Amino acid sequence: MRNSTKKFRLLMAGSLILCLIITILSLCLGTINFSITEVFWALFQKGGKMNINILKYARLPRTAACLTAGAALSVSGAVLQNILANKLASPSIIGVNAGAGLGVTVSCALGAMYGWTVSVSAFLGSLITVMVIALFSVKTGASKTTVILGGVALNSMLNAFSESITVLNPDVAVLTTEFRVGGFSAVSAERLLPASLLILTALLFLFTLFNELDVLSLGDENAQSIGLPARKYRLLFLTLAALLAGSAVSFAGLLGFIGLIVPHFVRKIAGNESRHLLPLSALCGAAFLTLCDLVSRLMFMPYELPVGILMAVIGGPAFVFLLLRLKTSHGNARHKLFPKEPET
Amino acid sequence: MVETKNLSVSYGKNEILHQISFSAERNEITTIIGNNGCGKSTLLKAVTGILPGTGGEIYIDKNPITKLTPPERARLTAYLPQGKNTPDITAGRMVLHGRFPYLSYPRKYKKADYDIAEDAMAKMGISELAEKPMAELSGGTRQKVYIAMALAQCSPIIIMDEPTSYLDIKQQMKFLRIARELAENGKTVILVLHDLLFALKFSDRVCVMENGRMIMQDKPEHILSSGIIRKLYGIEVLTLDTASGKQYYYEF
Repeated sequence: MRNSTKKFRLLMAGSLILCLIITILSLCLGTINFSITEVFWALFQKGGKMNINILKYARLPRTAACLTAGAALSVSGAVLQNILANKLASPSIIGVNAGAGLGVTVSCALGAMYGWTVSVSAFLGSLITVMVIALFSVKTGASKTTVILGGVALNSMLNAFSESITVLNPDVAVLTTEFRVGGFSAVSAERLLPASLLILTALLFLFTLFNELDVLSLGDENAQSIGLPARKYRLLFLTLAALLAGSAVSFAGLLGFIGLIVPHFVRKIAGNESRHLLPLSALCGAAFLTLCDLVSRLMFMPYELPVGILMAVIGGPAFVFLLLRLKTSHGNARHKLFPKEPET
Repeated sequence: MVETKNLSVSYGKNEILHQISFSAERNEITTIIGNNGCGKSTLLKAVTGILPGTGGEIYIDKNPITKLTPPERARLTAYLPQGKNTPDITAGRMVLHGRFPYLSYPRKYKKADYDIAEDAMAKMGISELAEKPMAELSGGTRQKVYIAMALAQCSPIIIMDEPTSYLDIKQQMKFLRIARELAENGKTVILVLHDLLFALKFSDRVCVMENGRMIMQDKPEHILSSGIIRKLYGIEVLTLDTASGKQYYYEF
Protein backbone atom coordinates (compact mmCIF):
# COMPACT_ATOMS: atom_id res chain seq x y z
CA MET A 1 0.00 0.00 0.00
CA ARG A 2 2.90 2.32 0.71
CA ASN A 3 5.24 1.35 -2.20
CA SER A 4 3.60 3.78 -4.61
CA THR A 5 4.81 6.70 -2.48
CA LYS A 6 8.44 5.87 -3.33
CA LYS A 7 7.69 5.83 -7.06
CA PHE A 8 5.80 9.11 -6.71
CA ARG A 9 8.74 10.78 -4.97
CA LEU A 10 11.07 9.68 -7.77
CA LEU A 11 8.66 10.97 -10.41
CA MET A 12 8.27 14.27 -8.56
CA ALA A 13 12.04 14.70 -8.33
CA GLY A 14 12.42 13.87 -12.05
CA SER A 15 9.65 16.28 -13.05
CA LEU A 16 11.10 19.02 -10.87
CA ILE A 17 14.55 18.65 -12.44
CA LEU A 18 13.00 18.60 -15.94
CA CYS A 19 10.96 21.69 -15.12
CA LEU A 20 14.08 23.47 -13.87
CA ILE A 21 16.11 22.59 -16.98
CA ILE A 22 13.32 23.78 -19.31
CA THR A 23 12.91 26.97 -17.28
CA ILE A 24 16.64 27.73 -17.61
CA LEU A 25 16.52 27.00 -21.37
CA SER A 26 13.47 29.25 -21.72
CA LEU A 27 15.35 32.08 -19.99
CA CYS A 28 18.56 31.55 -21.98
CA LEU A 29 17.36 30.88 -25.52
CA GLY A 30 15.66 33.26 -27.94
CA THR A 31 16.51 35.82 -30.62
CA ILE A 32 19.48 36.70 -28.44
CA ASN A 33 21.01 33.78 -26.54
CA PHE A 34 22.33 34.20 -23.00
CA SER A 35 24.60 31.97 -20.97
CA ILE A 36 23.37 30.66 -17.62
CA THR A 37 25.84 33.00 -15.87
CA GLU A 38 24.48 36.00 -17.76
CA VAL A 39 20.92 35.04 -16.80
CA PHE A 40 21.96 34.56 -13.19
CA TRP A 41 23.61 37.98 -12.89
CA ALA A 42 20.84 39.69 -14.83
CA LEU A 43 18.32 38.37 -12.30
CA PHE A 44 20.27 40.31 -9.67
CA GLN A 45 20.29 43.43 -11.89
CA LYS A 46 23.92 42.93 -12.81
CA GLY A 47 25.43 42.87 -16.32
CA GLY A 48 24.46 44.72 -19.52
CA LYS A 49 21.36 46.94 -19.38
CA MET A 50 19.97 45.29 -22.50
CA ASN A 51 20.36 41.84 -20.97
CA ILE A 52 18.59 42.97 -17.82
CA ASN A 53 15.75 44.54 -19.79
CA ILE A 54 15.22 41.55 -22.05
CA LEU A 55 15.12 39.23 -19.06
CA LYS A 56 13.05 41.51 -16.85
CA TYR A 57 10.44 42.56 -19.37
CA ALA A 58 10.32 39.64 -21.80
CA ARG A 59 11.87 36.29 -20.85
CA LEU A 60 11.07 36.24 -17.14
CA PRO A 61 7.36 37.20 -17.35
CA ARG A 62 6.96 34.92 -20.34
CA THR A 63 8.57 31.91 -18.66
CA ALA A 64 6.60 32.55 -15.45
CA ALA A 65 3.40 32.80 -17.50
CA CYS A 66 4.14 29.51 -19.31
CA LEU A 67 4.87 27.71 -16.05
CA THR A 68 1.76 29.09 -14.32
CA ALA A 69 -0.63 28.51 -17.23
CA GLY A 70 0.74 25.01 -17.86
CA ALA A 71 0.28 24.00 -14.22
CA ALA A 72 -3.18 25.60 -13.95
CA LEU A 73 -4.64 24.16 -17.16
CA SER A 74 -3.25 20.66 -16.53
CA VAL A 75 -4.57 20.48 -12.96
CA SER A 76 -7.90 21.94 -14.09
CA GLY A 77 -8.13 19.20 -16.75
CA ALA A 78 -7.30 16.46 -14.23
CA VAL A 79 -9.95 17.72 -11.79
CA LEU A 80 -12.61 18.04 -14.52
CA GLN A 81 -11.87 14.51 -15.74
CA ASN A 82 -12.39 13.15 -12.21
CA ILE A 83 -15.50 15.17 -11.41
CA LEU A 84 -17.24 14.58 -14.73
CA ALA A 85 -16.01 10.94 -14.64
CA ASN A 86 -14.96 11.55 -18.22
CA LYS A 87 -11.41 11.12 -19.44
CA LEU A 88 -12.05 13.26 -22.50
CA ALA A 89 -12.92 16.31 -20.44
CA SER A 90 -10.52 19.23 -20.51
CA PRO A 91 -11.08 22.98 -20.13
CA SER A 92 -10.54 23.71 -23.82
CA ILE A 93 -12.74 20.89 -25.14
CA ILE A 94 -15.85 21.40 -23.02
CA GLY A 95 -15.86 25.18 -23.48
CA VAL A 96 -14.47 26.29 -20.10
CA ASN A 97 -11.62 28.18 -21.80
CA ALA A 98 -14.06 29.69 -24.31
CA GLY A 99 -16.25 30.85 -21.40
CA ALA A 100 -13.22 32.48 -19.82
CA GLY A 101 -12.35 34.01 -23.21
CA LEU A 102 -15.84 35.51 -23.42
CA GLY A 103 -15.37 36.88 -19.90
CA VAL A 104 -12.11 38.56 -20.97
CA THR A 105 -13.71 39.91 -24.16
CA VAL A 106 -16.63 41.41 -22.26
CA SER A 107 -14.25 42.88 -19.67
CA CYS A 108 -12.13 44.49 -22.43
CA ALA A 109 -15.22 45.73 -24.26
CA LEU A 110 -16.29 47.45 -21.05
CA GLY A 111 -12.89 49.14 -20.79
CA ALA A 112 -11.13 46.96 -18.20
CA MET A 113 -8.13 45.60 -20.06
CA TYR A 114 -5.76 44.71 -17.18
CA GLY A 115 -5.64 43.77 -13.54
CA TRP A 116 -8.10 41.97 -11.31
CA THR A 117 -11.17 42.80 -13.42
CA VAL A 118 -9.86 40.71 -16.33
CA SER A 119 -8.98 37.75 -14.09
CA VAL A 120 -12.31 37.84 -12.26
CA SER A 121 -14.27 38.18 -15.54
CA ALA A 122 -12.39 35.20 -16.97
CA PHE A 123 -13.14 33.19 -13.81
CA LEU A 124 -16.85 34.08 -13.95
CA GLY A 125 -17.00 33.13 -17.63
CA SER A 126 -15.41 29.76 -17.00
CA LEU A 127 -17.48 29.15 -13.85
CA ILE A 128 -20.78 29.79 -15.65
CA THR A 129 -19.70 27.45 -18.47
CA VAL A 130 -18.69 24.65 -16.14
CA MET A 131 -22.00 24.93 -14.26
CA VAL A 132 -23.95 24.82 -17.56
CA ILE A 133 -22.08 21.64 -18.55
CA ALA A 134 -22.75 20.12 -15.12
CA LEU A 135 -26.46 20.95 -15.27
CA PHE A 136 -26.68 19.61 -18.83
CA SER A 137 -25.12 16.36 -17.63
CA VAL A 138 -27.60 16.05 -14.74
CA LYS A 139 -30.81 17.12 -16.41
CA THR A 140 -30.34 14.98 -19.50
CA GLY A 141 -28.56 12.02 -17.84
CA ALA A 142 -26.32 12.31 -20.89
CA SER A 143 -23.67 9.74 -21.74
CA LYS A 144 -20.02 10.72 -21.48
CA THR A 145 -19.65 11.29 -25.21
CA THR A 146 -22.83 13.40 -25.29
CA VAL A 147 -21.49 15.61 -22.49
CA ILE A 148 -18.31 16.15 -24.53
CA LEU A 149 -20.29 16.92 -27.68
CA GLY A 150 -22.50 19.31 -25.71
CA GLY A 151 -19.32 21.00 -24.46
CA VAL A 152 -17.96 21.25 -28.00
CA ALA A 153 -21.21 22.92 -29.12
CA LEU A 154 -21.05 25.32 -26.18
CA ASN A 155 -17.42 26.03 -27.03
CA SER A 156 -18.40 27.09 -30.57
CA MET A 157 -21.26 29.26 -29.32
CA LEU A 158 -19.09 31.05 -26.76
CA ASN A 159 -16.34 31.63 -29.32
CA ALA A 160 -18.97 33.03 -31.71
CA PHE A 161 -20.14 35.48 -29.01
CA SER A 162 -16.54 36.56 -28.38
CA GLU A 163 -15.90 37.04 -32.11
CA SER A 164 -19.09 39.10 -32.48
CA ILE A 165 -18.07 41.41 -29.63
CA THR A 166 -14.57 41.78 -31.11
CA VAL A 167 -15.95 42.65 -34.55
CA LEU A 168 -18.59 45.07 -33.26
CA ASN A 169 -16.31 46.75 -30.73
CA PRO A 170 -12.99 48.04 -32.13
CA ASP A 171 -11.75 48.79 -28.59
CA VAL A 172 -11.24 45.09 -28.04
CA ALA A 173 -8.23 45.17 -30.38
CA VAL A 174 -6.14 43.74 -27.55
CA LEU A 175 -7.71 40.38 -28.32
CA THR A 176 -5.39 39.51 -31.15
CA THR A 177 -5.16 36.25 -33.04
CA GLU A 178 -2.63 35.19 -30.44
CA PHE A 179 -5.28 35.43 -27.69
CA ARG A 180 -7.69 33.32 -29.71
CA VAL A 181 -5.21 30.49 -30.25
CA GLY A 182 -3.21 31.06 -27.07
CA GLY A 183 0.28 32.49 -26.75
CA PHE A 184 2.67 34.42 -24.55
CA SER A 185 4.47 36.95 -26.77
CA ALA A 186 2.47 39.87 -25.36
CA VAL A 187 2.13 38.68 -21.76
CA SER A 188 2.21 41.50 -19.23
CA ALA A 189 2.87 41.57 -15.51
CA GLU A 190 -0.41 43.51 -15.01
CA ARG A 191 -2.41 40.52 -16.20
CA LEU A 192 -0.08 37.84 -14.96
CA LEU A 193 0.13 38.87 -11.30
CA PRO A 194 -3.55 38.82 -10.23
CA ALA A 195 -4.18 35.64 -12.22
CA SER A 196 -1.10 33.95 -10.72
CA LEU A 197 -2.30 34.75 -7.22
CA LEU A 198 -5.70 33.21 -7.97
CA ILE A 199 -4.02 30.14 -9.49
CA LEU A 200 -1.66 29.72 -6.57
CA THR A 201 -4.55 29.97 -4.08
CA ALA A 202 -6.64 27.42 -6.00
CA LEU A 203 -3.70 25.01 -6.33
CA LEU A 204 -2.82 25.21 -2.65
CA PHE A 205 -6.45 24.65 -1.69
CA LEU A 206 -6.78 21.71 -4.10
CA PHE A 207 -3.61 20.13 -2.72
CA THR A 208 -5.36 19.75 0.66
CA LEU A 209 -8.30 17.94 -0.95
CA PHE A 210 -6.71 14.89 -2.60
CA ASN A 211 -8.69 12.39 -0.55
CA GLU A 212 -11.97 14.22 -1.09
CA LEU A 213 -11.42 14.14 -4.87
CA ASP A 214 -10.70 10.40 -4.81
CA VAL A 215 -13.64 9.66 -2.51
CA LEU A 216 -15.99 11.43 -4.95
CA SER A 217 -14.94 8.95 -7.63
CA LEU A 218 -16.28 6.08 -5.47
CA GLY A 219 -19.81 7.19 -6.37
CA ASP A 220 -22.11 9.47 -4.45
CA GLU A 221 -23.63 6.82 -2.17
CA ASN A 222 -20.24 5.50 -1.13
CA ALA A 223 -18.86 9.01 -0.71
CA GLN A 224 -21.78 9.99 1.51
CA SER A 225 -21.55 6.75 3.47
CA ILE A 226 -17.99 7.65 4.50
CA GLY A 227 -18.96 11.17 5.46
CA LEU A 228 -18.37 13.33 2.37
CA PRO A 229 -21.27 15.61 1.33
CA ALA A 230 -20.86 14.70 -2.35
CA ARG A 231 -22.91 17.47 -3.93
CA LYS A 232 -21.18 20.30 -2.06
CA TYR A 233 -17.74 18.96 -2.88
CA ARG A 234 -18.58 18.53 -6.56
CA LEU A 235 -19.53 22.19 -6.69
CA LEU A 236 -16.32 23.15 -4.87
CA PHE A 237 -14.12 21.18 -7.26
CA LEU A 238 -15.91 22.57 -10.33
CA THR A 239 -15.39 26.08 -8.97
CA LEU A 240 -11.68 25.47 -8.37
CA ALA A 241 -11.25 23.93 -11.85
CA ALA A 242 -12.99 26.96 -13.36
CA LEU A 243 -10.81 29.33 -11.31
CA LEU A 244 -7.64 27.65 -12.57
CA ALA A 245 -8.69 27.57 -16.23
CA GLY A 246 -10.25 31.06 -16.18
CA SER A 247 -7.22 32.67 -14.57
CA ALA A 248 -4.86 30.99 -17.04
CA VAL A 249 -6.95 32.10 -20.03
CA SER A 250 -6.95 35.71 -18.77
CA PHE A 251 -3.25 36.05 -19.67
CA ALA A 252 -2.47 33.07 -21.91
CA GLY A 253 -5.48 33.16 -24.23
CA LEU A 254 -7.47 30.18 -25.41
CA LEU A 255 -4.77 27.52 -25.16
CA GLY A 256 -6.08 24.14 -26.15
CA PHE A 257 -5.45 20.52 -25.31
CA ILE A 258 -2.84 20.86 -22.54
CA GLY A 259 -5.52 20.02 -19.95
CA LEU A 260 -6.17 16.79 -21.86
CA ILE A 261 -2.68 15.61 -22.82
CA VAL A 262 -0.79 16.19 -19.57
CA PRO A 263 -3.20 14.49 -17.09
CA HIS A 264 -3.41 11.49 -19.44
CA PHE A 265 0.35 11.20 -19.60
CA VAL A 266 0.60 11.49 -15.80
CA ARG A 267 -2.14 8.88 -15.28
CA LYS A 268 -0.08 6.50 -17.44
CA ILE A 269 3.11 6.91 -15.44
CA ALA A 270 1.79 7.54 -11.92
CA GLY A 271 -1.75 6.16 -11.74
CA ASN A 272 -5.01 7.87 -10.98
CA GLU A 273 -4.76 8.75 -7.30
CA SER A 274 -5.21 12.48 -6.86
CA ARG A 275 -2.34 12.88 -4.38
CA HIS A 276 0.00 11.80 -7.22
CA LEU A 277 -1.99 13.00 -10.21
CA LEU A 278 -2.45 16.66 -9.26
CA PRO A 279 1.09 17.64 -8.16
CA LEU A 280 2.66 15.73 -11.07
CA SER A 281 0.18 17.24 -13.54
CA ALA A 282 1.11 20.69 -12.25
CA LEU A 283 4.86 20.08 -12.72
CA CYS A 284 4.58 18.23 -16.04
CA GLY A 285 2.06 20.78 -17.37
CA ALA A 286 4.36 23.65 -16.45
CA ALA A 287 7.36 21.93 -18.07
CA PHE A 288 5.44 20.85 -21.20
CA LEU A 289 3.91 24.24 -21.95
CA THR A 290 7.21 26.07 -21.36
CA LEU A 291 8.96 23.60 -23.67
CA CYS A 292 6.28 24.02 -26.37
CA ASP A 293 6.56 27.80 -26.06
CA LEU A 294 10.34 27.56 -26.41
CA VAL A 295 10.00 25.39 -29.52
CA SER A 296 7.40 27.71 -31.06
CA ARG A 297 9.73 30.65 -30.38
CA LEU A 298 12.81 29.03 -31.90
CA MET A 299 11.32 26.96 -34.73
CA PHE A 300 10.90 29.75 -37.30
CA MET A 301 13.22 32.37 -35.83
CA PRO A 302 13.07 35.37 -36.21
CA TYR A 303 9.34 34.71 -36.66
CA GLU A 304 7.37 33.35 -33.75
CA LEU A 305 4.52 30.90 -33.83
CA PRO A 306 1.85 31.32 -31.10
CA VAL A 307 2.27 28.29 -28.83
CA GLY A 308 -1.48 27.55 -29.12
CA ILE A 309 -0.94 26.50 -32.74
CA LEU A 310 1.71 23.98 -31.70
CA MET A 311 -0.58 22.73 -28.91
CA ALA A 312 -3.39 22.22 -31.41
CA VAL A 313 -1.09 20.30 -33.79
CA ILE A 314 -0.10 17.95 -30.96
CA GLY A 315 -3.44 17.93 -29.14
CA GLY A 316 -5.80 17.32 -32.08
CA PRO A 317 -4.45 13.87 -32.96
CA ALA A 318 -4.06 13.05 -29.24
CA PHE A 319 -7.76 13.81 -28.68
CA VAL A 320 -8.84 11.61 -31.61
CA PHE A 321 -6.57 8.82 -30.34
CA LEU A 322 -8.09 9.01 -26.86
CA LEU A 323 -11.62 9.18 -28.26
CA LEU A 324 -11.05 6.03 -30.29
CA ARG A 325 -9.40 4.23 -27.38
CA LEU A 326 -12.17 5.11 -24.94
CA LYS A 327 -14.86 4.16 -27.44
CA THR A 328 -13.53 0.63 -27.50
CA SER A 329 -12.95 0.30 -23.77
CA HIS A 330 -15.62 -0.34 -21.20
CA GLY A 331 -16.62 2.03 -18.45
CA ASN A 332 -19.53 3.62 -16.71
CA ALA A 333 -21.81 4.76 -19.51
CA ARG A 334 -23.75 7.26 -17.52
CA HIS A 335 -22.84 9.45 -14.64
CA LYS A 336 -25.27 11.47 -12.56
CA LEU A 337 -23.53 14.58 -11.32
CA PHE A 338 -25.80 16.08 -8.74
CA PRO A 339 -28.18 13.51 -7.31
CA LYS A 340 -30.43 14.75 -4.58
CA GLU A 341 -28.77 14.78 -1.21
CA PRO A 342 -30.33 14.62 2.24
CA GLU A 343 -30.87 17.87 4.10
CA THR A 344 -29.95 16.62 7.51
CA MET B 1 -28.31 0.29 17.78
CA VAL B 2 -30.55 1.64 15.03
CA GLU B 3 -34.17 2.58 15.54
CA THR B 4 -36.79 4.12 13.29
CA LYS B 5 -40.18 5.41 14.39
CA ASN B 6 -42.94 5.82 11.78
CA LEU B 7 -40.34 6.49 9.09
CA SER B 8 -41.66 7.55 5.69
CA VAL B 9 -39.50 8.20 2.63
CA SER B 10 -40.55 9.59 -0.74
CA TYR B 11 -38.96 9.98 -4.16
CA GLY B 12 -40.62 13.18 -5.33
CA LYS B 13 -44.36 12.79 -4.73
CA ASN B 14 -44.13 9.02 -4.68
CA GLU B 15 -44.01 7.64 -1.12
CA ILE B 16 -41.80 4.54 -1.06
CA LEU B 17 -41.67 3.73 2.65
CA HIS B 18 -44.80 4.02 4.77
CA GLN B 19 -44.44 4.61 8.52
CA ILE B 20 -41.77 2.02 9.21
CA SER B 21 -40.85 1.33 12.83
CA PHE B 22 -38.05 -1.11 13.41
CA SER B 23 -34.97 -1.56 15.49
CA ALA B 24 -31.67 -3.40 15.19
CA GLU B 25 -29.77 -4.20 18.37
CA ARG B 26 -26.11 -4.51 19.33
CA ASN B 27 -24.61 -8.02 19.25
CA GLU B 28 -27.18 -9.07 16.68
CA ILE B 29 -27.47 -9.63 12.95
CA THR B 30 -30.72 -8.12 11.71
CA THR B 31 -31.61 -9.16 8.18
CA ILE B 32 -34.20 -7.46 6.00
CA ILE B 33 -35.92 -9.62 3.40
CA GLY B 34 -38.66 -8.97 0.88
CA ASN B 35 -39.44 -9.09 -2.81
CA ASN B 36 -37.64 -6.86 -5.34
CA GLY B 37 -38.78 -3.25 -5.13
CA CYS B 38 -40.34 -3.54 -1.66
CA GLY B 39 -38.13 -0.74 -0.28
CA LYS B 40 -35.29 -2.62 1.46
CA SER B 41 -32.49 -0.55 -0.09
CA THR B 42 -34.45 2.67 0.42
CA LEU B 43 -34.77 1.84 4.11
CA LEU B 44 -31.00 1.30 4.39
CA LYS B 45 -30.28 4.57 2.59
CA ALA B 46 -32.63 6.38 4.96
CA VAL B 47 -31.06 4.97 8.12
CA THR B 48 -27.59 5.89 6.85
CA GLY B 49 -28.72 9.45 6.11
CA ILE B 50 -28.21 9.19 2.34
CA LEU B 51 -31.93 9.66 1.70
CA PRO B 52 -33.86 12.14 3.80
CA GLY B 53 -36.95 10.87 5.57
CA THR B 54 -40.17 12.71 4.81
CA GLY B 55 -41.74 11.71 8.11
CA GLY B 56 -40.89 9.96 11.35
CA GLU B 57 -37.60 9.68 13.22
CA ILE B 58 -34.32 7.80 12.93
CA TYR B 59 -31.98 7.20 15.85
CA ILE B 60 -28.39 6.01 15.50
CA ASP B 61 -27.06 4.83 18.85
CA LYS B 62 -29.84 6.92 20.44
CA ASN B 63 -28.76 10.08 18.53
CA PRO B 64 -31.38 11.62 16.21
CA ILE B 65 -29.85 11.31 12.73
CA THR B 66 -30.69 14.93 11.95
CA LYS B 67 -28.34 16.09 14.70
CA LEU B 68 -25.32 14.23 13.31
CA THR B 69 -22.86 15.76 10.85
CA PRO B 70 -21.87 13.58 7.84
CA PRO B 71 -18.51 12.53 9.40
CA GLU B 72 -20.19 11.80 12.77
CA ARG B 73 -22.77 9.67 10.96
CA ALA B 74 -20.02 7.85 9.06
CA ARG B 75 -18.11 7.14 12.28
CA LEU B 76 -21.24 5.48 13.67
CA THR B 77 -22.44 3.61 10.57
CA ALA B 78 -20.56 1.87 7.78
CA TYR B 79 -22.74 1.34 4.73
CA LEU B 80 -22.06 -0.89 1.75
CA PRO B 81 -24.49 0.12 -1.02
CA GLN B 82 -25.85 -2.23 -3.63
CA GLY B 83 -24.62 -0.30 -6.70
CA LYS B 84 -20.96 0.60 -6.64
CA ASN B 85 -18.59 2.47 -8.96
CA THR B 86 -15.26 1.07 -10.01
CA PRO B 87 -12.95 3.97 -9.29
CA ASP B 88 -9.54 4.36 -10.95
CA ILE B 89 -7.58 3.68 -7.76
CA THR B 90 -5.84 0.71 -6.19
CA ALA B 91 -7.62 -1.75 -3.89
CA GLY B 92 -5.39 -0.71 -0.97
CA ARG B 93 -6.21 2.97 -1.37
CA MET B 94 -9.88 2.07 -1.69
CA VAL B 95 -9.87 0.26 1.66
CA LEU B 96 -7.86 3.08 3.22
CA HIS B 97 -10.68 5.49 2.30
CA GLY B 98 -12.74 3.60 4.87
CA ARG B 99 -10.77 5.75 7.32
CA PHE B 100 -11.98 8.95 5.64
CA PRO B 101 -14.48 9.88 8.41
CA TYR B 102 -11.55 10.06 10.86
CA LEU B 103 -9.40 12.38 8.72
CA SER B 104 -8.47 15.65 10.31
CA TYR B 105 -6.08 18.38 9.22
CA PRO B 106 -3.58 18.09 7.52
CA ARG B 107 -5.95 15.71 5.72
CA LYS B 108 -3.46 12.84 5.57
CA TYR B 109 -4.02 9.26 6.65
CA LYS B 110 -1.89 8.29 9.64
CA LYS B 111 0.04 5.09 10.32
CA ALA B 112 -2.83 3.80 12.48
CA ASP B 113 -5.20 4.25 9.50
CA TYR B 114 -2.87 2.22 7.24
CA ASP B 115 -2.64 -0.49 9.90
CA ILE B 116 -6.43 -0.71 10.29
CA ALA B 117 -6.88 -0.84 6.49
CA GLU B 118 -4.26 -3.60 6.24
CA ASP B 119 -6.03 -5.59 8.98
CA ALA B 120 -9.36 -5.24 7.17
CA MET B 121 -7.76 -6.48 3.94
CA ALA B 122 -6.17 -9.41 5.76
CA LYS B 123 -9.57 -10.28 7.27
CA MET B 124 -11.08 -10.44 3.78
CA GLY B 125 -8.03 -12.35 2.43
CA ILE B 126 -7.05 -9.69 -0.09
CA SER B 127 -3.78 -8.33 1.37
CA GLU B 128 -1.80 -9.25 -1.73
CA LEU B 129 -4.10 -7.15 -3.92
CA ALA B 130 -3.27 -3.83 -2.24
CA GLU B 131 -1.41 -2.44 -5.27
CA LYS B 132 -3.88 -3.78 -7.87
CA PRO B 133 -6.13 -1.26 -9.63
CA MET B 134 -9.83 -1.82 -8.84
CA ALA B 135 -10.64 -2.03 -12.57
CA GLU B 136 -8.44 -5.14 -12.91
CA LEU B 137 -10.27 -7.11 -10.19
CA SER B 138 -13.16 -9.53 -10.72
CA GLY B 139 -16.64 -8.62 -9.45
CA GLY B 140 -16.29 -10.93 -6.43
CA THR B 141 -12.87 -9.59 -5.46
CA ARG B 142 -14.10 -6.02 -5.84
CA GLN B 143 -16.95 -6.87 -3.49
CA LYS B 144 -14.41 -8.12 -0.94
CA VAL B 145 -12.53 -4.82 -1.27
CA TYR B 146 -15.75 -2.90 -0.60
CA ILE B 147 -16.50 -5.07 2.43
CA ALA B 148 -12.93 -4.51 3.71
CA MET B 149 -13.47 -0.78 3.26
CA ALA B 150 -16.61 -0.96 5.41
CA LEU B 151 -14.71 -2.97 8.04
CA ALA B 152 -11.92 -0.37 8.05
CA GLN B 153 -14.54 2.21 9.03
CA CYS B 154 -14.55 0.60 12.51
CA SER B 155 -18.07 1.83 13.21
CA PRO B 156 -20.35 0.24 15.82
CA ILE B 157 -23.07 -0.23 13.18
CA ILE B 158 -22.48 -2.04 9.88
CA ILE B 159 -25.16 -1.89 7.20
CA MET B 160 -24.75 -3.87 4.00
CA ASP B 161 -27.04 -4.12 1.01
CA GLU B 162 -26.72 -7.55 -0.61
CA PRO B 163 -23.11 -8.04 0.51
CA THR B 164 -22.98 -11.61 -0.78
CA SER B 165 -23.72 -10.68 -4.38
CA TYR B 166 -20.82 -11.53 -6.76
CA LEU B 167 -19.32 -13.87 -4.13
CA ASP B 168 -19.09 -17.63 -4.71
CA ILE B 169 -20.75 -19.90 -2.15
CA LYS B 170 -17.54 -20.44 -0.15
CA GLN B 171 -16.92 -16.71 0.06
CA GLN B 172 -20.58 -16.09 0.99
CA MET B 173 -20.25 -18.48 3.92
CA LYS B 174 -16.97 -16.88 4.93
CA PHE B 175 -18.50 -13.40 4.82
CA LEU B 176 -21.50 -14.44 6.93
CA ARG B 177 -19.16 -15.93 9.52
CA ILE B 178 -17.31 -12.61 9.62
CA ALA B 179 -20.68 -10.84 10.08
CA ARG B 180 -21.44 -13.19 12.99
CA GLU B 181 -18.04 -12.47 14.52
CA LEU B 182 -18.65 -8.72 14.20
CA ALA B 183 -22.02 -9.05 15.95
CA GLU B 184 -20.46 -11.13 18.72
CA ASN B 185 -17.86 -8.39 19.19
CA GLY B 186 -20.58 -5.87 19.97
CA LYS B 187 -21.50 -4.47 16.54
CA THR B 188 -24.99 -3.90 15.24
CA VAL B 189 -25.11 -5.67 11.86
CA ILE B 190 -27.94 -4.96 9.40
CA LEU B 191 -28.03 -6.90 6.14
CA VAL B 192 -30.29 -7.10 3.13
CA LEU B 193 -30.15 -10.65 1.78
CA HIS B 194 -32.02 -12.36 -1.02
CA ASP B 195 -31.02 -15.84 0.06
CA LEU B 196 -33.69 -16.85 2.58
CA LEU B 197 -31.69 -19.83 3.82
CA PHE B 198 -28.76 -17.60 4.77
CA ALA B 199 -31.14 -15.05 6.29
CA LEU B 200 -32.79 -17.69 8.47
CA LYS B 201 -29.55 -19.45 9.39
CA PHE B 202 -27.33 -16.50 10.22
CA SER B 203 -29.71 -13.85 11.57
CA ASP B 204 -30.79 -13.13 15.11
CA ARG B 205 -33.75 -11.17 13.84
CA VAL B 206 -35.48 -11.08 10.45
CA CYS B 207 -37.53 -8.13 9.19
CA VAL B 208 -39.98 -8.81 6.39
CA MET B 209 -40.98 -5.99 4.05
CA GLU B 210 -43.74 -5.77 1.50
CA ASN B 211 -44.71 -2.76 -0.64
CA GLY B 212 -42.83 -0.23 1.51
CA ARG B 213 -44.18 -1.55 4.81
CA MET B 214 -42.56 -3.61 7.53
CA ILE B 215 -45.01 -6.48 7.88
CA MET B 216 -43.18 -8.60 10.43
CA GLN B 217 -40.00 -8.60 12.52
CA ASP B 218 -39.10 -11.49 14.75
CA LYS B 219 -36.68 -14.34 15.38
CA PRO B 220 -36.00 -16.53 12.30
CA GLU B 221 -37.87 -19.55 13.65
CA HIS B 222 -40.98 -17.46 14.39
CA ILE B 223 -40.83 -15.88 10.93
CA LEU B 224 -40.69 -19.35 9.40
CA SER B 225 -43.45 -20.83 11.54
CA SER B 226 -45.76 -17.86 10.85
CA GLY B 227 -46.08 -18.91 7.19
CA ILE B 228 -45.27 -15.40 5.97
CA ILE B 229 -42.48 -16.67 3.70
CA ARG B 230 -44.87 -19.03 1.93
CA LYS B 231 -47.37 -16.18 1.54
CA LEU B 232 -44.81 -13.67 0.33
CA TYR B 233 -42.62 -15.78 -1.96
CA GLY B 234 -44.91 -18.73 -2.76
CA ILE B 235 -42.20 -21.21 -1.72
CA GLU B 236 -41.76 -23.61 1.16
CA VAL B 237 -38.72 -23.50 3.44
CA LEU B 238 -38.27 -26.64 5.52
CA THR B 239 -36.11 -27.24 8.58
CA LEU B 240 -33.98 -30.16 9.57
CA ASP B 241 -32.54 -30.62 13.05
CA THR B 242 -28.98 -31.83 12.83
CA ALA B 243 -26.08 -32.25 15.21
CA SER B 244 -24.72 -28.87 14.06
CA GLY B 245 -28.05 -27.14 14.70
CA LYS B 246 -31.07 -26.23 12.61
CA GLN B 247 -30.57 -26.44 8.85
CA TYR B 248 -32.92 -24.89 6.29
CA TYR B 249 -33.68 -26.01 2.73
CA TYR B 250 -36.12 -25.20 -0.04
CA GLU B 251 -38.79 -27.66 -1.12
CA PHE B 252 -38.81 -27.91 -4.92
